[in-house]
Amino acid sequence: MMKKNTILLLAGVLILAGCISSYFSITDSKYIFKSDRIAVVSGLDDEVSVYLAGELSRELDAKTTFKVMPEEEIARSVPGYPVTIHGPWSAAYFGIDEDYTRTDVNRIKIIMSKLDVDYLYVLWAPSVVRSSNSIQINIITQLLEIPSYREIAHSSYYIKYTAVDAFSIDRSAKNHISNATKKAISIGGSKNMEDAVRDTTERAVKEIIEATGKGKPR
Amino acid sequence: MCRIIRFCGVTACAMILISCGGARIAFEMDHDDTYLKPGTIAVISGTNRDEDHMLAESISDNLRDETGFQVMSQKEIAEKIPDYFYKNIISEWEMKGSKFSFSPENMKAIKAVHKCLNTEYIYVVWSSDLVVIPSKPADVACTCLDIVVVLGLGNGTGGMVPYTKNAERSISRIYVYGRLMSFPDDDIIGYTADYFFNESCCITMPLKTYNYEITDLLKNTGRDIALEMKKYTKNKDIRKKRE
Repeated sequence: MMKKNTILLLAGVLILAGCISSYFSITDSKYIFKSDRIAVVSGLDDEVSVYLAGELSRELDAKTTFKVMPEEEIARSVPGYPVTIHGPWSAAYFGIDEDYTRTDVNRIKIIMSKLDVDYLYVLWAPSVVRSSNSIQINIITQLLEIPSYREIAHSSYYIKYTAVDAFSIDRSAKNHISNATKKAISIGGSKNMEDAVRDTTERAVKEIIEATGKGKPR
Repeated sequence: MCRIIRFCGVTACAMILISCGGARIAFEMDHDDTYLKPGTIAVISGTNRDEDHMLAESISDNLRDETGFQVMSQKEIAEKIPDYFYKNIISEWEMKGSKFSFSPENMKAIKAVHKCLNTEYIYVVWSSDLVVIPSKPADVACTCLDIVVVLGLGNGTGGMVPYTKNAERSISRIYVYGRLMSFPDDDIIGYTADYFFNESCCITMPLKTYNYEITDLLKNTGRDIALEMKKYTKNKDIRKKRE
């Protein structure tokens, strides 16, 4: 009986360990931000990543002293935006196996060189996991300094929300790129999804403020 | 009671396997007496998705190890095809009709790729319905993985399966399409079109752990396809002497 309880406890700890998220980790604790000009861009061309990058951009603009480049200006400056850039993972299916050295920085340099900013905050949502009663959007980000393209910070977290009808997903492989991702984020009901995205985005920006000290004075 | 639950779990898994498995075709050629001649081959991913690139890499590695094909590496392919890792080479993903045919658009795309690669064979691979059914022992309470986890990639496939509670084994599954073209006659001479499965025994773990299930599935599937292709390399020159 004792052994059984220990196994249960261990399993619980392991599960919790897998659920812990980091919203913003500065890689060099002594780093000093040289300016406030930043652009939040999507690292993938799907609706989920673009939507989440947009939300984060707006929240940063509202709550911090960063001068955030508006999405419209990014779209005007970068031909074909949003575009796919290989991100910092070795595998991204059910969760993200982080590997921050695997980002295709050369492609970022080529594509994003026209953005007149000092920092680039790239957000990827490479996988959406659907279970019978919930949807989990896995997210990974990297903050790069321009023009060195050095990594300043990174994070990996997820947004999870209840979805009562998660099984009615369009299985058509042909249509999935445009349709399934949209359904994936809205199928739980737009309110569930919007609430979860807002909560998580607020939490992420709160951690960015704590780490950078760039909160707007109240 | 526990035994009954376990029995139900195993039975459900078996039913899923039976219902999805069908006649498994890792690789098949036009005629039984057809064989692959020694030559150069490039295994390319039909889409820009991670799983299809991993399949292409696994098939390439196994063909290189197990046969005498001169296999072009994925790195070399990427050097010859601009944006190889980022573009969808094929546009029609769901194949209907003959297994030895391609839509005109796909055929055009592969011919264009051949101009860059100039190999005697091109095997193009892509997939759909990537799913994992995690194990869930009856004794382990878990809120992270309540029942079934269904995978849907932001830039990839989605799918769903009937779920099973209390299964003792994790089962991952993928449907793989493949077309082998020979040049210069531009013929489709072989194909892959079937589900591939991987089973592993483990307790319920954090979601991330199931990435390994997928990685294993893709590696094993690549090996299965390559080994099946090897059976068609009847010419002694193309087989490794160690066989």
